[in-house]
Amino acid sequence: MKKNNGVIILLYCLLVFFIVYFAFIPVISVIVYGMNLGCKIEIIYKYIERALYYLKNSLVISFVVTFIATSCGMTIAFTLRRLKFRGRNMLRIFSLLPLIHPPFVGSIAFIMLFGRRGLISHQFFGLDISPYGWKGVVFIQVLGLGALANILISSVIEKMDISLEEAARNLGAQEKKVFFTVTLPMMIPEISSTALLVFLASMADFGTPLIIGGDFQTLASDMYIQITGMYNMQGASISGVFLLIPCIFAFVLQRYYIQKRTYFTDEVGAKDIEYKEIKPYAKYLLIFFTSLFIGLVLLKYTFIIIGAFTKQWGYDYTFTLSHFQSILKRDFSSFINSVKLATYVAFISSFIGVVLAYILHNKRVPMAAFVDFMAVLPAAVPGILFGISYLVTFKYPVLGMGRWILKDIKPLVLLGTEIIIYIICIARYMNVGLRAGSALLKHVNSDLEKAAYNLGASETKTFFTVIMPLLKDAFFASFFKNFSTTMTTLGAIIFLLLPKNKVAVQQIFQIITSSAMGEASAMALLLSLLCLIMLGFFYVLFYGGSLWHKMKEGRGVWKSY
Amino acid sequence: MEIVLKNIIKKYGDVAAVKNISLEVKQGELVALLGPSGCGKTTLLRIIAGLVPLDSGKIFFDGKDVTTWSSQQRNAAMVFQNYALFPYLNVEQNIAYGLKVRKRSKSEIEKRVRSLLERVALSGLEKRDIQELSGGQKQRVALARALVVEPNILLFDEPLSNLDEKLRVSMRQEIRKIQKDIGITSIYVTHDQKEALAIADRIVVMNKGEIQQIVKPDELYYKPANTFVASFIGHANLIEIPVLKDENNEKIAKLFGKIVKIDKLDEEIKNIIALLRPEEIKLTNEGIQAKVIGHENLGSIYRYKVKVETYEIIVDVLNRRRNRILNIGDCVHLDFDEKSVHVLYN
Repeated sequence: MKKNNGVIILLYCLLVFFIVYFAFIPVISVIVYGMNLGCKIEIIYKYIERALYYLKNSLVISFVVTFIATSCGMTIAFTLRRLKFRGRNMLRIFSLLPLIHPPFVGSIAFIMLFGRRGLISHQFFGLDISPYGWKGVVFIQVLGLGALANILISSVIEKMDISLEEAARNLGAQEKKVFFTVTLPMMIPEISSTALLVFLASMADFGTPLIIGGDFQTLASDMYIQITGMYNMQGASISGVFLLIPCIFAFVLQRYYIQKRTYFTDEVGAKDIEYKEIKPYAKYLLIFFTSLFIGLVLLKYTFIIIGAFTKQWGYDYTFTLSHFQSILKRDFSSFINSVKLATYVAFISSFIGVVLAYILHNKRVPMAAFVDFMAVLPAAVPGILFGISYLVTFKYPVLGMGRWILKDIKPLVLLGTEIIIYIICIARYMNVGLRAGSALLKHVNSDLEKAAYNLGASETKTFFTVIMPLLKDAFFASFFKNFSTTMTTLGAIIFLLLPKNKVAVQQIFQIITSSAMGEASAMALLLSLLCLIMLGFFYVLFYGGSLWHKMKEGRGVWKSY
Repeated sequence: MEIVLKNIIKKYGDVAAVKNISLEVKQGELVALLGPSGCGKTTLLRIIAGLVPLDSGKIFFDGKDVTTWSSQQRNAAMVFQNYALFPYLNVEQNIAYGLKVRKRSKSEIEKRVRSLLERVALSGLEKRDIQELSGGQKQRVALARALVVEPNILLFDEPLSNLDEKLRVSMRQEIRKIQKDIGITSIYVTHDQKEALAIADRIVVMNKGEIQQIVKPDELYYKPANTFVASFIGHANLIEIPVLKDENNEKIAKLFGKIVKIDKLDEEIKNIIALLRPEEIKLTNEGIQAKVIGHENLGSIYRYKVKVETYEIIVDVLNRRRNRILNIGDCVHLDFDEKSVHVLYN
């Protein structure tokens, strides 16, 4: 085995330092802080009691949502992939809509329908019952996460090796048997990773319960209340520990036990399978359900568009551009900050991610498995808790140790600087690049690098001429994902933002809580639009060269005819 | 079970994968479908298995029309090219799958699985995961899994193409032995002519979705039906020569001065193609003059390329130690028995 050169070792050390300090230690310190019995036992007991109460809510909601949303996602995915019917392609396209996800879109639409001046609750039916509460939270989360689950599971169905299903059929298994003994077991790793994603997202969601939960709050939203309402770090940390346990448990269970058994081969002759023998009533039921679900998702988007262009929801539905005007009259600094943050974070986190993937995969470095675990850990930590862990860790200099040692230094080492939100986002999203890179490198012939050495290329040269071009796609994929996530999610940064570096998504949240639905809709729309434009811009920037080349080639071919 | 295919047609879009194929397979027979990739042989096999719907034509099993039957009903077990073993089940569970879906009793399943494991020489590996098996072992499991359901017909889709040469040879002997022991009607798809020649009772040569020839292995080599079959099987010198008439006004042709008889009395034939296998040609001291223009050592034989008149001819000579090795540019003489020339008309 070739010895690693100095650059690699240095780079690895730096990365490990970054991961330990900004991803691992914060999680550990929030646990330590939460369990620090500095104050009276009765108070701690009270905190724990409160945390357990909300934990129950969180778990109930998350389990219900995970089950329903994953089942819905699967049902829709199979209906859209394996049944043939008119309008299927249209539904398939609409089912991709959640990829552009304006922040809080579900909650805004929900208020428009069921709010005090909502369409259903006030305008049409005049119902007096309030759907605020756990049912609303479940409904909104199922709608949002179910659509996401469909996208994830659909891509798995497309990758499936159908010869196994053929073999089962050939051995005499009936269609139902084939589905339950072959199709489903084959998909378990992927379904479980989808379910995990849904579970974690549901556990971490504090916005939906806050906006439409009414009296019903979850652990995540209660943590928000504890911090903003009472600035109770100790209580929030204790809640955090309780929130973290099920998340980490689910994460480890999925990642290290279920995911291990992945069966996809490299050579997949995926072809369309059609379930022909399905009974007509079942088929139409499935199509009806799928259409209904996707219709509701569409409705959600329609509402915020209507809301953005009408004067005041519930009172005056005349067309207006005033919401946009009032947004544009203000300074754009929040939008600019959003774009700036998302660009830097997407670039740096993706770069760190793929480089780390390369080092962990292709170089023999010590503790690779543990470093990998530490780096992906933030994916399991609910955003709001990750934010609190930064508060805890960096409140005092030197990881909070300074509380006792360096009493005189002001708590400004990182906290209260603009840079901390960049760091927290990078630490939180680098796992995306890491996973994309690892997945890619697993399929690359390990001799490729050796071939380059053999031809006389140095290690550095090999990295830039052989590995980088290969990892480019993983980098870009991670870049796009991290960019849009950073633009439209709030969790981790909400407590770390300063007035001078406020971002758009935070403003939207504030506007919703002050019940100005029109302006919130308009701003959410604008943010999504901006996000789309920026993604398009980066797409042209990254792939423009080859696109241009292809166009020119295409034109050449055209001419020669 | 006897299989009869009548006028099978299958199109993918505008491309016909199988063009009007009719074929009969007798009880207990092993028929090989042989052809280059893309010739439609796998499609035909999948049509018989009921995995690919056909556009028109009929399929009969023992006289029963099974055209509209599903794969489940046909009981025609298939051995897949990529094995298609269930990766989340172990060896034993894989083999038992077909019996489980038929809801057989536990004791029967156990008994059948054990006897099949023995038959394919895998006893002791019952609890192994599929991932831990070698290619040859996987193929045995796939065979056992197909056999356990006591199928009427056994279908092989290039079962040995993922194995190395040595293993291929021993596995095909094993497959043939088991097939004969059970006496099961089998269809075996392959692109490897040696495999087809070694294993089959009859060979169906296919090209571009059509049957070129149905023939016994022994006859295939010496009596190909057309130039495609002649050049696809082994090596062939195909020499186009004009048709002449002898003093009795009978049609003949002359190949390097030797008289070749023509059976077809058709007036229109102006030219024939003479097939002369490389090993039918001898190097002699006198006879047809030729010049060596290339040579290749193939182990047991030495293959020369020589020029006779304007034709380039391949000559195979056994690589005996006492044989003199010729060099490029050497002049040699050739001889062959005119009876070994096979006449083709297309």
